[in-house]
Amino acid sequence: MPPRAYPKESQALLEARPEVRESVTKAALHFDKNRARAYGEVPIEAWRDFAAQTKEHVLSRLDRYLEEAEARLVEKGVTVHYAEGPEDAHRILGEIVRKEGVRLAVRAKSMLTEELGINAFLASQGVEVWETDLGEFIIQLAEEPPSHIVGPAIHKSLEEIRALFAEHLGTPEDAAPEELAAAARRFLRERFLKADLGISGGNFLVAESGTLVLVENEGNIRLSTSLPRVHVAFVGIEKLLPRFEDLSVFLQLLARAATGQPIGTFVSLIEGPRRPGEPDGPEALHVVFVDNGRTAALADERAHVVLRCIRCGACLNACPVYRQTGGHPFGFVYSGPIGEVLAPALLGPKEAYPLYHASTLCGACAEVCPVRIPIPKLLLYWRERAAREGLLLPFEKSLVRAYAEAMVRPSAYRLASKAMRLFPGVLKSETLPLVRAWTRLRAGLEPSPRPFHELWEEIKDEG
Amino acid sequence: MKVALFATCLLDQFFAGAGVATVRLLRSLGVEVDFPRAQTCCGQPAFNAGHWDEARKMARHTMAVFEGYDYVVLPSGSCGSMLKVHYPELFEGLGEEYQRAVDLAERTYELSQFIVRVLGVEKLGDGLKGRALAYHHGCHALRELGAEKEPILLLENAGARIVPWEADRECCGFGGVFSVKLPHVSVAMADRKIDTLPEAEALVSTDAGCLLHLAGRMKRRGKPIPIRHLAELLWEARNAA
Amino acid sequence: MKARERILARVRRALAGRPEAALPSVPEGAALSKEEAFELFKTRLSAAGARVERLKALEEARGFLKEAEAGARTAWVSPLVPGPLRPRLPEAPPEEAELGVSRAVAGVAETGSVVLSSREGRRGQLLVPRHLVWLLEDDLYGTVLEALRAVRSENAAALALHSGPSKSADIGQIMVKGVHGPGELWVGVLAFRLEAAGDEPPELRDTLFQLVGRTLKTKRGEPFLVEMVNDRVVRVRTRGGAGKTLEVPVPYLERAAQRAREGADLSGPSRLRKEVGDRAAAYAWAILHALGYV
Ligand code: SF4
Repeated sequence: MPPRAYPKESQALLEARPEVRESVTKAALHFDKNRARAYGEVPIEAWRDFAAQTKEHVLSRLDRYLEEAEARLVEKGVTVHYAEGPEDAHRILGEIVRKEGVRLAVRAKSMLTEELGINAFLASQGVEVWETDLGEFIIQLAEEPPSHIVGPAIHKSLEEIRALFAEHLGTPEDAAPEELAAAARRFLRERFLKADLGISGGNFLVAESGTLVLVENEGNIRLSTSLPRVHVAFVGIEKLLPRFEDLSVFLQLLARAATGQPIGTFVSLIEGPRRPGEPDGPEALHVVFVDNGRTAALADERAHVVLRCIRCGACLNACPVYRQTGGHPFGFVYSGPIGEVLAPALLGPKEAYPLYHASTLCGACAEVCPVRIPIPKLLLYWRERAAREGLLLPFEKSLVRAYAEAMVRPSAYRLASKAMRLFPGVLKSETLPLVRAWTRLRAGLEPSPRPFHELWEEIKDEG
Repeated sequence: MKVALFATCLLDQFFAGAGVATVRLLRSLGVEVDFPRAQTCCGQPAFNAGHWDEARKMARHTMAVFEGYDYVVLPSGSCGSMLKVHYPELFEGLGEEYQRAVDLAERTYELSQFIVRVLGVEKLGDGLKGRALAYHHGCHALRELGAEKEPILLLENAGARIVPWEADRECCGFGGVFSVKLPHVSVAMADRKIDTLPEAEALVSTDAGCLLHLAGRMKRRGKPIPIRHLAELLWEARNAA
Repeated sequence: MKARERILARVRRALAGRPEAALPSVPEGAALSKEEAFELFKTRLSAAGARVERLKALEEARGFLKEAEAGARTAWVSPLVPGPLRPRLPEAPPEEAELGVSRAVAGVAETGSVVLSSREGRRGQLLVPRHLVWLLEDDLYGTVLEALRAVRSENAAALALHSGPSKSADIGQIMVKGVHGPGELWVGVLAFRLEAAGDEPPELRDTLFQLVGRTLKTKRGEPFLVEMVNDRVVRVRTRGGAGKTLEVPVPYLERAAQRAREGADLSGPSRLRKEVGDRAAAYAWAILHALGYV
């Protein structure tokens, strides 16, 4: 289901499954409340400035930082690959799978591997693959895509999860959350111990030290990157940080923005495969730098700022549009505010239409973004481009043109004002498409008996 | 001090009384108010939908209409931010026109901010004693103009009690064209506002669009509470004194 | 590597003519006293659901250990944990052990974190249901920044910050502990010098581990890093340009410590050479000095 289906899909979801709205609203507001509290405990504005500027710096010299990161990684025994898109990523992974004889893989939650369709690819290679993040595991069982960057299963109620686990893991119909989690733990523990391959993303990659940084709360990422003999990390080229010390701010900012915690419960700082003398750890570590539209985004001087994003999900939680439906109707890996501006930057405005219209421009997202991405400004930018490049319905363009013509002629404006009062039925019409879009779900509009500009004539000489 | 009232098209058509209230309120504060008759729409609907050529056309018209006034006052946060924040963006890089946009932006104020920041008035009167009001912070008033404290200050200083409302800063879902482009999401957002709305004798806001949308939805759901434009209440605050 | 060249070329094309954005300096946090640091550390970790205790003597540490042992039949113990702090339980591999005991290379107050090294093995930090971590009070830092600086020279494939028990709210927003990783985290902060505690003096072997990751100075003031300790040798790396590695045999250090206890004058590396011979004596002396033997 492509982004184009958003209007239909969002309507269908709201009408058919109102419980999704309830679950998502509750979870997102909970996240947002924690974020607000957590922001209040630290010098947040200075941190946000620092983070935005640091990311902007890296992006402005990304070629240099990529080369530096690659050199450090190679020195540490990491095999570095580059993938332009899903095909490259699949080819690279396919070679590793064959060479290492991989039969079972565990996956640690990562949005990039979602972008690249890694699960489906591995399945096509006869590799059994398991999502190990509890939320991802839930939606894997439900065969759904993630609905939120940080909480992939926030659209699922406890009852739904109970039913799902009862069917797949044989837990009792009324199992407590603890029992459900324990069942998932047992099921996945076996797979962790047997897996040949661990697949992860990367929250950050420090160029000066070649450190791959992963943040989580469950421990599944640490397990996925520690137990299997091969670890493959897919890292977006925009994930680089210049200095090891930059992590001191980014680790805290990410956690506070995402869930309101001081730091993720488990932070992995990985610098290569197992070293001599170490009791365990993967024997091979591959880092795959992925483009998949990022260089195109970078080339756009206005829109490139989306590449600062650290995928904290704070903008989703703050977004009242997102909260009504969760991520699914957006039809893109990333949903909510960041999805609305990432989609056109990565896929182009045509492919992403009309996601950047799915916003009232209320500005709640920009208020919370830890790296200060001006999302409403970017939405306007893409809307303007879409209009300029003729991506909108011709009907809309002529309507707006006529409207503008009327509005620069005060006499035309006043005539329309009179007409509206002569034919009051128009604003309550159930048949005129634009009016109907209003009246179907709301009472019809009732203009004041006389417009203000007429009343003015009576009061202009009052005392 | 020569002040022009920009009534904005929605208020002109749907809240004419709030326009009258604005004029009387400002006059009672010693302000000479004019209403340039050529004014129409600020162009925000076109701007937000991406039709910037058309938006520029309307903005040029509006800039011409309000030439020569010391201040332009709007009983609206949304249109206020269009003039104050987005006109300069719209004419960025266009030399002389950009200068005119910046000049207009500097002279433009949302009503409550004009009263508090320019006139330095924080108490209008006692006309709202004992009134329990729910206040909806329009997004552009709140986040683009920073008009968070002024409306509340003026209402409370006139004796009104602003009832606590967990969703008072959340977007109502109007969003101009958004309300008809994505009507289902739009009303779902309104429903969140309505479902959390505490008991109050009226729902107040400085933005006509939000009020129309919320009122329309409340009426459709058969759960209406009166809606009032901020300007009307501020005039009541003053007038009853 | 065609993809590499193509991606880099596209990046360069995208950036052509774009000025370099300034890189800001990393904000320094507020400095904390030892007491403040511990208080904050405890507050944060407790809020995350961990158990934290400041232990002022070996007996207290043993008491804490005993509590952590309760109910467990087997334990995995990190090789970095010194003898007196090892549980009195049969050892088991991490996938079976019911208690895991680690030794942190650093702690962070502002986030309530312990920093663990892959040198001790990662499975034991992750697979056990209850995880006990020892942290020397001297290794507790106020800010993440200070801790990152301190562990920068760790020679390990992976470091990990643990800041509470494993948790998830993915099931209907209800917080559940012990998903995948340890469901319990216990942190014992050691506020005493190991060798000065208890009646029987601890073995030198057991105390050497606390030096790992620390930078010491020779008598002549040359800084060096204690990179690794095992039962045989202490590996040190000199700072400065090339940074060569040297190994000091543990038995040699033990002979020297024995002589010191017997009252021999070991006031400097040259005296040490005279008494027990020269096995990287300058560094050996600094190590013995750091532990209070000489
Ligand atoms: S855009 Fe900002 S708030 Fe949204 S996910 Fe990215 S970093 Fe977080």
